[in-house]
Amino acid sequence: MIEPQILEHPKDLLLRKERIPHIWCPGCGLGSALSALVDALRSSGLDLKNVAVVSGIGCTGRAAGYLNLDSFHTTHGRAIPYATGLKLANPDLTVIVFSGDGDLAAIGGNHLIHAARRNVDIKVICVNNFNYGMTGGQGGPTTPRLARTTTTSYGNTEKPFNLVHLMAACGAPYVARWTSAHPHYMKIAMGEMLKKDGFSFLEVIAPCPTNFGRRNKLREIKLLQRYLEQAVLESQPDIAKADIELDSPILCGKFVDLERPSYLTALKETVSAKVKVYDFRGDGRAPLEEEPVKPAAAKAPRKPAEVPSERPVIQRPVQIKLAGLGGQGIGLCGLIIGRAAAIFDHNQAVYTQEYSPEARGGASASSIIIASRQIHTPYVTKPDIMVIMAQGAYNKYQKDVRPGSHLIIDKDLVRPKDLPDSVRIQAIPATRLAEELGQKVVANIVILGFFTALVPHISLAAMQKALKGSIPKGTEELNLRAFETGYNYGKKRRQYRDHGY
Amino acid sequence: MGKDVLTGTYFLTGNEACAAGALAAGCRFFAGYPITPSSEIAERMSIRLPQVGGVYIQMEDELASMAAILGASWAGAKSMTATSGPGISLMMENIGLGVMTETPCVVVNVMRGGPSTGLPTLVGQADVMQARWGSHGDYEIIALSPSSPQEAFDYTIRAFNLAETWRVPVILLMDEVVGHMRERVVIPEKKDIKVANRRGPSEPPGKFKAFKPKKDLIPEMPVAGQGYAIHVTGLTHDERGYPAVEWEAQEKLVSRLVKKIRLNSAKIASWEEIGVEGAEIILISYGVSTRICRAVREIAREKGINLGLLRLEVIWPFPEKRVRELAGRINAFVTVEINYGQIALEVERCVAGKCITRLVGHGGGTVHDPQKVLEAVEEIAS
Ligand code: SF4
Repeated sequence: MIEPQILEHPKDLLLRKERIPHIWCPGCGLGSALSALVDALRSSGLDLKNVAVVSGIGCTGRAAGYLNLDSFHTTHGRAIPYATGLKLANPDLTVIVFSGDGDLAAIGGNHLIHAARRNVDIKVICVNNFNYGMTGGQGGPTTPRLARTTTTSYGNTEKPFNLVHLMAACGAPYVARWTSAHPHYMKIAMGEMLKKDGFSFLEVIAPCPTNFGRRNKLREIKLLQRYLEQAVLESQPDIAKADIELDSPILCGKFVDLERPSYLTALKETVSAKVKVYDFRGDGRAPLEEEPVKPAAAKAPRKPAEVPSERPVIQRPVQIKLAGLGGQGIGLCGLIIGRAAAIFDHNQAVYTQEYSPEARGGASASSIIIASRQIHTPYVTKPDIMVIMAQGAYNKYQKDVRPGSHLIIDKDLVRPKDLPDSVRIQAIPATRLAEELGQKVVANIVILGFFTALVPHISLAAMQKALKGSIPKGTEELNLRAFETGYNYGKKRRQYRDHGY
Repeated sequence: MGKDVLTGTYFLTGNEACAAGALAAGCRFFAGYPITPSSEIAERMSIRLPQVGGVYIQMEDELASMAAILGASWAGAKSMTATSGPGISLMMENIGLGVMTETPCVVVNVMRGGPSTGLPTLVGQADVMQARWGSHGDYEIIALSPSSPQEAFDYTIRAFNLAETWRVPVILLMDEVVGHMRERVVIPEKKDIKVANRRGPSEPPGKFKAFKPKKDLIPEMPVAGQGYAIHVTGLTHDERGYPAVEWEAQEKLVSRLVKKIRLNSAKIASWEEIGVEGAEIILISYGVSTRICRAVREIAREKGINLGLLRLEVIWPFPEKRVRELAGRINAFVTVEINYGQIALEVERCVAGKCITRLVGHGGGTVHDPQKVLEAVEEIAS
């Protein structure tokens, strides 16, 4: 009889003496599995201070609590993601998940398959006793067909998981299976897992005499004996034949042992060169040897800018709405206007953008409100100025053009109709001018220049600075020329037709 | 040193500002799952964290995201996740574990319209009671609500500081409008940003009990790898952290978890009073709705109505004492929120009939029409 030998070594530093006796039933396979882990840890040479054990819920889930290590007894099914957090926050830790089949393969099944795929370096020991022991022996995703449990009284009709096959299919670089009647092999497998850098999985077939055994007429030792007899040990077992039926052989051995870069290794290989940081860990202890690359948002000035002398004073908030088709870059125009007003003119600006699914293609709009004092209401309700770059956008947003407001359009692309007479239209062949500059895509910047010449609420200097900080490197010259083209076009027009701005 | 604080003046969305705030607060671990309207936080963190030697990981779902940030916190990380309605519902499971195991972490909920899938791209403020009571069991929690991108930056830092100080998951209740709107955000110099860190163990392993509270009811927190052989469990536990499934242990532990927030609520609760002195009617609001309330105040003033505004910076714990005090001297409280009455219930409870209470609420999808709020105020004033 394999009574958990750990109980005979109460001085064993790896157990929390004060928590023994454990809650497990006599003849339960959990003790042997835990005992094998203790042995494997002892001979691993690891600094046990850096070993953490995580469990979910269930009989097996209690294992974490008996080990005198950093141990975490989490929620049902979540041991693996919890362990993932531990490992990635402190990669110096060796993180072991010790939990049951119901916990890991049913409620935690999604985490199990993704962890194997992702290959975070955690060592998963899944004790499979074919049922939910803690709650009284209900059936689950590992219950063999025809087996009886408290919820499969007529015999289980579902096909159970072949867990080792599943793990191999998900890409786990180490997969093995033993029964609790094989303490020596369990220990060897666990020792190999402790050395492996990557996700490793060991299934331990263990008797639950109290529930599974009783209902299937296999009490205590008989059950263990049965597993021992059923076990087929092979050096290169065929994983596809590892399904478990009530009376079938239980194929044991090491199914997978290969090299694949672990999550952190892959992260370092892929990202290090790009950010010039060579270690990644969540606890903030990664040494930062070199300056990281400059992030995009850092283009704005480092210090709060001085309030410029030519700052336009805007008493009543001005509402601006820009509309165009996807790809015309109308959102960028809004962003530049907002940045110019908020950062460089030191006025207040609120920018919002349509986030409806329809904004993915077709016509969309962005809005900016500018004022010299605090702006409360974030949404544009009555635009004072509208900029429309395409007919499709005009058709959609024409309803927002209100009497007395200003409408700026691309002359060639928008044919305004059905507007109140009081709407003051300013038109520019923005796309044509952009094409003359060699790039149709800068039509938005042409119209932005035009806008700047006509609208007094944002200073030219602010707009130029915002523009420079908002366009991709290498396109500055083209964009500045586009802006100037639009601006000059607007200035000329303004001499002839000043509309009161 | 890599730059975690990018000092400067920016034009940011609330979501971007939140990510910047997290980094400034010392966050180096983010686990999340994409969901509108919060995804920009994850996107930004995925770019920024590697630049400062931190870890971004996209998990398989929100259950996993929440579990991962708890694990990371116990390995010494300041950790965060961000989500919205459907995701926060899934996170409730492990928010409970975080409360029970006193795990500092920050959970951002960029609120959209619900229930269920509701309005993925449009605003809501209906997860306020869920933030308070969403996980099973009895507990207290801390939640903050920014009303602008600048506050999204500032309050994210506050959220981390509160989580580290009081050892509880802190919920940042943003809303879609604040998350997506852009405004000027000033990121100060690193030296000017106040950052709080959890208190580590003051005793060596051996005698030390990981869940034995200090005078302020907060235990010192060792983390994995420090040699304390800690045991952390979601079961009711004793001061050593060992399961103790009995009513006496439950009473001792859960009452402390509740009291550590309740008895310290004067230190945690936070609100802004605008024109409250002398006001006959006071609006109570939070998040984007406070912006509308500010606009309403201006119109009301022009009409000669003396209208105050109590803006909740921290929603939970609620400024119970202050609301009670004010109720004795004013005519009415008007709660303005994008739901059909959540904080309004809390206001009613505190007011206990001492003044009129009204709700101006709606189901979400847009912000309040200032006119509707004004009408409610005028009706009381007349
Ligand atoms: S119920 Fe089954 S699995 Fe649980 S301790 Fe008893 S024998 Fe072991």
